[in-house]
Amino acid sequence: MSFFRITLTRSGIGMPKRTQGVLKALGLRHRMATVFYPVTPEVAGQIMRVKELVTVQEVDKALTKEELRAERRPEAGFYLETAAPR
Amino acid sequence: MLSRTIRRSILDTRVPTSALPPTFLLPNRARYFNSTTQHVDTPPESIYISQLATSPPAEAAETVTPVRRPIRPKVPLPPAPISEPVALDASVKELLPLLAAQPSHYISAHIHAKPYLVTAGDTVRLPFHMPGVVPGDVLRLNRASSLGSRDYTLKGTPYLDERIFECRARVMGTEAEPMRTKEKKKRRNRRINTVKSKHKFTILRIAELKINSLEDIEGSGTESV
Amino acid sequence: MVVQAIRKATTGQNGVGAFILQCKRLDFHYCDWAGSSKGMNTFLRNSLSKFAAANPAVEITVSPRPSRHPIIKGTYINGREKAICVRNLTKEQILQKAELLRDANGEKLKKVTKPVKSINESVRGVWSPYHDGGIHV
Repeated sequence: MSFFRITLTRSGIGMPKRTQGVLKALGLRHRMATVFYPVTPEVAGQIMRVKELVTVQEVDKALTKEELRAERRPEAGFYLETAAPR
Repeated sequence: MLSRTIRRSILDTRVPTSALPPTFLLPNRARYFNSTTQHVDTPPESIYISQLATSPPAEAAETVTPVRRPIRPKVPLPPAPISEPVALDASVKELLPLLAAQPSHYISAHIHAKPYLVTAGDTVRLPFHMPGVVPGDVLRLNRASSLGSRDYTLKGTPYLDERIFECRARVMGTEAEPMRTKEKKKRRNRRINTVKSKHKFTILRIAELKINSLEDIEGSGTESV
Repeated sequence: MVVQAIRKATTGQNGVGAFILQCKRLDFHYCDWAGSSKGMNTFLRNSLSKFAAANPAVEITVSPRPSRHPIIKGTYINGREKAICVRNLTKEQILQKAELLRDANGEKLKKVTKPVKSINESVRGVWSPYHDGGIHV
């Protein structure tokens, strides 16, 4: 089963009420918010309504909130090689 | 009054069981990442963490009570060796020995995605207090965006392959900043709230910066395959 | 003839080759009688031996300081001293203070704005407009 990965890249402020309603229905509250929905005609229609505001990707798996956070987290860039006696 | 003093002295002399860490903290995994608990059985020499990481702690698995979340070590563990050989461009292969031959080098090492442009012997005051390290620990810095000498610079896309160079940093200690006070005042209200803050920072010293030779770089890829 | 010292080719930097802990000595002062030393006395009885064993690089002395609040004093390799008053603190809090003194470098606290401090010469040198071909107008 594939999913839409929808990220709000442009704010909905100043858009018509119906467009803002679609964003609300998708659960996109603020810019750079990401949601996952299964690929269905209903969701595709919603995306079409706000296609100028979002970026959409088709992915195989819906990520959880923690996985999204882990994706954004940069690498540490170091590791403990030799530990002093403690 | 007397009974109180007696009771206090008894309380003082007995070894309190609450002072010992709980049992799930005792296995050797927890030991090396815990700065506050001191263990008397210190190893004679410094320990190589890579050896530690490869041998799974057997007794730790038995004693660990069911935990809800996986225990994340405070300091990142050494990554698994990369099996695929280093893909070096022909120009890099040609110019890397020239870069290595020049007398002094700099590296732009990234720690938590922040770049620090350093040379060997520099002190870095990290903008945070690194948990789980004590003075004397050696950290290996393995993310760098550029590496250069007087006339040559090797740039990463966005990072360099970590087998090209060896950069080690020694944990020197922890420093603090002078106490900061900030007065919080709202309009039309005479109340002033003073907030204080004093942050701690970990100090590193770049102990070593070495550029590996081409044979080493290519040998490391093939031998681990 | 003027006597000249031998020029050093390099400056020694702690931690580049060998590493010396910057805290040389920790003095623990206590009072037998005063209530503010209660936590300190408990610390000396129960935790100090472990702390000392875990930090063999630090010389640890314990001495009385009657009718005064308990303090911990750290002496550093740069010649400075740091003292912390640990009155009315518990054993665990005193351990934290001792670790603070062990990890400190003895310098006065300063606000640092630039993260990297270097005594090395610039690797790439100073840019000069007269070299490297120049700009052809």
